[in-house]
Amino acid sequence: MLVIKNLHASIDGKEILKGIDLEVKAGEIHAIMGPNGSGKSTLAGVLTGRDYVEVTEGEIWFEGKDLLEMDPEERAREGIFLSFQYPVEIPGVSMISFLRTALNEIRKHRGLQPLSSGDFLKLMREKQQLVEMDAKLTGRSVNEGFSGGEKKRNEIFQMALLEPKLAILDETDSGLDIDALRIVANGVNKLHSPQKATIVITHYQRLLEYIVPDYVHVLYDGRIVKSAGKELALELEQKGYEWLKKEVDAVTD
Amino acid sequence: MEENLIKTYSGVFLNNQLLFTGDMPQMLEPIRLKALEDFNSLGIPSTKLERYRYTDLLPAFNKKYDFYLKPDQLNFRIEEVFQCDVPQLDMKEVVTVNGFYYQNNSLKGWQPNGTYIGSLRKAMIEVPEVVSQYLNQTYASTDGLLSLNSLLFLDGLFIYVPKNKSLEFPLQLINLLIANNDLFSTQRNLIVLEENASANLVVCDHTLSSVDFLTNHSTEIFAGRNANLSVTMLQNVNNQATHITTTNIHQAHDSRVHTVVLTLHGGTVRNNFNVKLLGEGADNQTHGLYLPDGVQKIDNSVFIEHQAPHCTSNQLFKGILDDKSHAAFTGRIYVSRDAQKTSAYQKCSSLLLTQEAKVNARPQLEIYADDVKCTHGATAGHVNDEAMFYLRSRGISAKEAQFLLMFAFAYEVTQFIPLGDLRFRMEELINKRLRKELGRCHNCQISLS
Repeated sequence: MLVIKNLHASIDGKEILKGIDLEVKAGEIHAIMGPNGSGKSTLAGVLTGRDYVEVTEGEIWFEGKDLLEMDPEERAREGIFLSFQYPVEIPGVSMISFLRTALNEIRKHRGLQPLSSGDFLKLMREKQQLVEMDAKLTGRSVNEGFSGGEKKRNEIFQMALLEPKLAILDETDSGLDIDALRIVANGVNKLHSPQKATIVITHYQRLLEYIVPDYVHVLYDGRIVKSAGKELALELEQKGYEWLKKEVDAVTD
Repeated sequence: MEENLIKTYSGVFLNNQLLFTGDMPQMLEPIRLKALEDFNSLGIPSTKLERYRYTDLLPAFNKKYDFYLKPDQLNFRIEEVFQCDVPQLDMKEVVTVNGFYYQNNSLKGWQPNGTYIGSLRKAMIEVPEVVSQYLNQTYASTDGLLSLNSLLFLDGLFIYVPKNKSLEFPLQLINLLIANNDLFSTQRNLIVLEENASANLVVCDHTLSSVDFLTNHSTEIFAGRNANLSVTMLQNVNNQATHITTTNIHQAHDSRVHTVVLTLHGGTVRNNFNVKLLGEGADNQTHGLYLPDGVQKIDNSVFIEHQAPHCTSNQLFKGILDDKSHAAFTGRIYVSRDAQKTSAYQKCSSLLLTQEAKVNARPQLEIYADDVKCTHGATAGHVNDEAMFYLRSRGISAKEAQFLLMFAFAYEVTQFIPLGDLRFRMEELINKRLRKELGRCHNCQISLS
């Protein structure tokens, strides 16, 4: 589904990603872990089309299409979804008109008719239950006055509604208490299927107890320095990142 | 040059004295004399004046215009050529044409419930005892344009809502400008609400011909004790129009006057609001939204005088500026020594869609009481990049995302429009305007003959 080859990217002329190779197939869950500043969020930024990240080398293919040629909205319509680390508050834009516009744009891209108001509201109610989101929140402006946990739930709610093929969860667990974490993870698991793929970007192992990955990759200094099965996450939890850093620095020195 | 302007415009009066005084009710005589004296010394305001610093009106006044001194016999019915964009089932409408109350208006004079709605000119004859009590009482010798209006007005709308009465329907005043040649138009409206009276007004300004218009309209509003007035103004005039409005408001004890002015289109638009809070507990809300593009200029100037304790005032002016348009906001809040426990808020914010668009915002506070709450502020900026990216990352196109954000920005003002249906219609107009789908009037080529 997603193929990343030798990806180099910089922000303000500083190289952050220094050659990433990664392949994600349908049905897989990949976790990308790594210490702060290793390039995790930059990778999410490249995948979703942040304009402040400049790709200097390499390629990204999504279902056989050149992802780097697409605007952010085209990527979303093709089926890529980012759960934001810091969801944005947009006063004055109602959740309903936002979600309805987004859903209908995506449906149009897939050759489907726009949903009627009635069907849309029905769908919204159904998906709200999935993340146990307070119905009152959808009556408000986008993320306005939402608590940290509500914002993250809202991300997963949007994901449920838009039904992406590839979901990228950027630090979705940060700032969540254990109950909220369980609800969010539960939502992600319910939405996962053999046709879909998920990339979980996280600093902590905690989320991976609930969303169990098939592969764990460690990102350090702009490169994937280790890839293994889910047991790698546990190892990192026990030993921290230091041992890996030392190992890598020893090789590169 | 400015001397010449004084000569030109006072000349209109001096050369037609029979029209302006001789044939008019006697109560106008002292008003005209005072206005003439003041206009001769004040003249047309130039940018040298603090209040007119950002908008140069002199080029517009230096053009040659026809002066519309007598209502023409129209050879068509207004209702056949003009369809309003803001229809509402329970609303009644009256029309003025180039400053004169339209002859076919269905509302003329006393209404069954004891209110009066009609031509000001006629009211001066029919109910002189009421009109003379109020007409020109908000006048101040401070602005040459107001003096010029007092000198040259011949008609307009008069509304009188006696004690404990209310207009039983929202009233829409549609001010139309129609001409074959460039035209100067003057209009005076007088709105009187006595104690506990209430009214809901919608005022729309439209040009129906594509010639140069220069309008100098003024409205006087008196809100008696505990009276309640809401005014929604919609300005949609052509690119060659210089549209000047002055709204003077006097408010008594516990009265509420809420105004929202939406400027969708216009060449140069200048709105003056002068509010005097004269009785305790009075509340004034004056909000504005303006959406200029091209080289349009929109200039709002608000002056709120707190003369009594426990009054509140609030202004929110927001603009979305495209192309090389220019907007200005001057807000002056004056709190007299006796006006303790005043709450006064003022905010102006602008969204600039291009590098060339420009806004000047000048909030000013002048406070002589010591126990008051006043805040003011101004912001100008571009569309929030993070919000744009968030919307786009959900599949919404850049264009649509920008539109959603602009609409959200405008919503902060439109939410103050009191009638739900009206708000909805106005939002639709704003929607069209922001999408640049708001055509000039369909009937823009109507001629008088």
